[in-house]
Amino acid sequence: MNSLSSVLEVTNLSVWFSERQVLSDIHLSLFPGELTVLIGHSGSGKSTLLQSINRLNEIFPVCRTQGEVQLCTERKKIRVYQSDVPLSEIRRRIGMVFQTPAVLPFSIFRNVAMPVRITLGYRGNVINERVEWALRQVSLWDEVKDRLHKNASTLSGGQQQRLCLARTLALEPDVLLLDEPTASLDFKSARKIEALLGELKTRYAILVVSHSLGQTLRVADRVCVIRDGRMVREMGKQELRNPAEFYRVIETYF
Amino acid sequence: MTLRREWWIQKGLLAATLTSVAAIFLLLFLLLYFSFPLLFSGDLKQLFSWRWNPFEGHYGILPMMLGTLLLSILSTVMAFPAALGICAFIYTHRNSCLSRLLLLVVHVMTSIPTVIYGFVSVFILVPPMRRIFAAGAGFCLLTAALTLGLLILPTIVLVFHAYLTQAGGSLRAVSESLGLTPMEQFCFVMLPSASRGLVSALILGFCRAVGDAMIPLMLAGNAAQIPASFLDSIRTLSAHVALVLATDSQSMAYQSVFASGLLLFVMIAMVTALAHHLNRNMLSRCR
Ligand SMILES: Nc1ncnc2c1ncn2[C@@H]1O[C@H](COP(=O)(O)OP(=O)(O)OP(=O)(O)O)[C@@H](O)[C@H]1O
Ligand SMILES: [Mg+2]
Repeated sequence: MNSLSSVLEVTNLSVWFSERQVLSDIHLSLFPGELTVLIGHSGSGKSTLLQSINRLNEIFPVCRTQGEVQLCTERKKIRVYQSDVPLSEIRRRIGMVFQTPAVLPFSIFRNVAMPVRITLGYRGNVINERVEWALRQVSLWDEVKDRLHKNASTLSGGQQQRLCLARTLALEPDVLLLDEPTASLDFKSARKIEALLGELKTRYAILVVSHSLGQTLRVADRVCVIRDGRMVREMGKQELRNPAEFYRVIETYF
Repeated sequence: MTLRREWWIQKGLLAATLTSVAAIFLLLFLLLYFSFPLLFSGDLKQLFSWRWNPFEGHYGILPMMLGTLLLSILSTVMAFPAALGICAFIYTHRNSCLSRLLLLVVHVMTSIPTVIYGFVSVFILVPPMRRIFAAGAGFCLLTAALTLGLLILPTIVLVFHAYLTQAGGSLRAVSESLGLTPMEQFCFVMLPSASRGLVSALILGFCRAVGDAMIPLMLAGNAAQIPASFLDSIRTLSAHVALVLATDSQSMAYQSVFASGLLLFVMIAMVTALAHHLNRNMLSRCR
């Protein structure tokens, strides 16, 4: 029913590293208000898929990409791989958080504020408000508000991961790509992030890579299983309502 | 087996370290030893004065010290923006042929003997300097600083470039994902996070400039005076040592060589210590 209004459409996407094909003919759609979880073996190409959606794979000289990615925002359609829209805008609209927390070696404040200032061109007090807003989104504000100007590397792994998420949110993306956002978190912080994802999905289309089947069942509206670079199975809400069925499918396809 | 090999490697490294430390201390000791009579005789005051005129009995080396400082600072100041520009270009055009070529040229530049720089400058740089400024013979502070700047440029570029590539990988991916253009990445991410590297590179370049004798000897004119402008001739400590050693071996002038050597040593040690201190401070601020 909402297939008409997909936010992001990946068609026929194939990716090679040197001569080795890592992704083959991927089709994927992300819808507003929906959280899609991507699962698959280690090395199956999940991170590569995420990176090829915002063209981040282009920083590897040996990488070759074929196919199409289309981003449909309220006002315009952007063909990610052929558009005349600047790459920096594409990257900003398709926000991405890495598998390992990657804070910049600056203060907590500057980690969020610098990209806002540079990519969005904001100035003055707007930046401060934006930083606070973003940090509140990931419920990090209360933990760091007294030490905003300490180096970000003084934060714990989980806090760093949330800081990275806040940094991405501050740039007003249309789509969120999260590569194992809870990989370095204890179970309680992971639950917090999961709750956060539930909130965020009302505003962004989200694609999350996860290694935890339990987590997948808790947060997913849709699940895509990827194996050796191919999308082998897609499960909708109906199938996910029945955990036994879900685990059976995973047994066969994973 | 491997334990035995490790033992040998460890001892070998220790021996190498001790040897170099010993060499430095020996050097310092000899310098001190030779300048000892000077330091504790009444001649010291004569030495640290502003007049150098051996025929009339004035042996002041302060003009040379000033010359060394002026020349080194000026050449580092000139090399700095150029080095930054080259590093920015290499960073922002990282996969292009042009940037690879540039890096190759910089590498080659390090292996050209200093005397070639001086020699080429005498023929290419000195005449136009003479013509443009229509003052003096063209052998002056500015000429030497330009050439010396070129000489220390590759050092600065390579050291800073190494820092950038070392810090680079993940930082680049992150800043790309945040939508920063290559130039913005360089200015707002790489430069601030590799500022330590930049300081190290500049210090190294500066020390090279302080220590170099060939360029000032060939290009600075070697008048032991306090320069009134960039177009005046100067003499550096290193050039002074070379000049006096080549002509004299007995007099007070000869003695001033040891004081010059000691002064050079102390200057470089101080700059290095300062760099060390700065680096540590920056590091602790980052933590
Ligand atoms: N920069 C690269 N150069 C060459 N090969 C790469 C590169 N990045 C990834 N690959 C290859 O692509 C394949 C997919 O890697 P990818 O990182 O997408 O896996 P993944 O599904 O994210 O695994 P994990 O769950 O362990 O994160 C792997 O076989 C990997 O070796
Ligand atoms: Mg991965």
